[in-house]
Amino acid sequence: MKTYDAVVIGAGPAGLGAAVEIAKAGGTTLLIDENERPGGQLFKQIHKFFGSKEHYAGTRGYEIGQMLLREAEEARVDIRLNTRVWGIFPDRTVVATDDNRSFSCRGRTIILATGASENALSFPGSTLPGVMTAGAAQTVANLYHVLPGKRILMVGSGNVGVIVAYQLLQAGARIEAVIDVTDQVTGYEVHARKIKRAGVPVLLRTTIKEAWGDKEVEGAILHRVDDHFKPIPGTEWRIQADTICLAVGLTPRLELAAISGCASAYNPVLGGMLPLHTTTMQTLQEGIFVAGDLAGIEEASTALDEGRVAGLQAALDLGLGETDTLEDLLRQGQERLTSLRQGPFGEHRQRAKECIWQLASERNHRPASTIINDGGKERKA
Amino acid sequence: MENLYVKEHPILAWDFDEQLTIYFEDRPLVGWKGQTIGAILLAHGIRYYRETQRLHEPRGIFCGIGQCSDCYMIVDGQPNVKVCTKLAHDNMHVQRQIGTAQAILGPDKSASGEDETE
Repeated sequence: MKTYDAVVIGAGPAGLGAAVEIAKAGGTTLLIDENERPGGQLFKQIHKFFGSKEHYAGTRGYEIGQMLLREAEEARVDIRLNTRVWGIFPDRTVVATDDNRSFSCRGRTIILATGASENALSFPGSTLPGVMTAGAAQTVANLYHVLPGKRILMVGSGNVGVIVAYQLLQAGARIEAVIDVTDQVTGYEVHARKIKRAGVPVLLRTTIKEAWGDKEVEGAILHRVDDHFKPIPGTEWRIQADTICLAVGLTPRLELAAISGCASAYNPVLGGMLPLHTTTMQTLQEGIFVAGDLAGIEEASTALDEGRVAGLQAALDLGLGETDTLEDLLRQGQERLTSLRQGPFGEHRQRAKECIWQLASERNHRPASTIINDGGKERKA
Repeated sequence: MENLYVKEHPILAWDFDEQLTIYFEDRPLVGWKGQTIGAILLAHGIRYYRETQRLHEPRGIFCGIGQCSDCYMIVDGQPNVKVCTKLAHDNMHVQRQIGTAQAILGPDKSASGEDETE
């Protein structure tokens, strides 16, 4: 069984960032992803990112994806696609399958970058074909150049809701409405203004009662809600739509972290249950790191820098590369993360992250420089 | 024939160049290399991909990224293929999957286990 300095699971921005940093420090790196292509959800992001130049502001998501793939290629990261990890054992043996055969390998460190799932919403008719996550519609439109439908209802006015609604408009769909149960648009105003300018009705204090249609969606019944989000009787009305997109939040994909025995905690701001981790992305399991949406739902640019930080800390623990250089890069990565968590939206996430770091440090009695148990043969980082 | 391909786009260039044909229950559908089976079906207005085992309800693409299993179809005789992420190849034959596909494929080739999603 082959042993790598790092086995990285998930080839989205976080996993790519981690794998690149470890490989650049001279570590042997295996990057595993269940999809046919690397990049995670970056390649369907066709809007320009915010932030400063260091965060690739003004660059579209898929361009960042292309840059990352070039970086990974130059750093000689070994990428295995179409491969699903189904087991992680206490000695950091990783077992995976490509649907034809299983194989196992060991990681001196493991970086989990498994991302998130979009939340579902339950209502009568919610399982009808034509009800899909906003991300699904975005994938179909932006990656495969197919309109998921012609008349679309968007449920949720967070960033995903308003961005995807605008991108579906760009692809030529008609957005019947964007609805939200709260009394204000929850996504960035910059994105919300674009759909308002295009004349899309943004209906607040409004939610979906049911979807109707024979074998597939033909429309929806909406109704208004009161201050406690309770439906107001008698306010129902019908709208026609062939597609209902759900943009109602994301949840970290915790499965692999859970089977690895990583202690986790619940944090509503960051999307629910997530593995406890330190400021350098170490979980409470020796040698196991997390990064990206798994470590709390944020943005692609945050995921990328968390990946880099995790990779740099793993490289330091493994004794790879030049310590001073790696520590410099690590500090820069953390500074970029701090600046990404500023502003009215970012501050909430910063405080939530601080909670997680605090919990991790309370539960973590080991010194910051970890001892990696190398299959019985201890080696000090 | 009318379809939902997006060839004109303010940001994205149409970068598919190799045309292919897949068959949905003998109906030929034009797609391009690099597109998934699920996307090609949607482009031709086909959205009902699977019928559940016990309640016989229709299902289609839900998550679109291979996580949820709602889009299982029979592809070239193999059940439980997630068509939302499976890239299309020329001449692929795609069928709606009814439950575990036993009635269509026989017990040997059908998907094992109960359909937990009802």
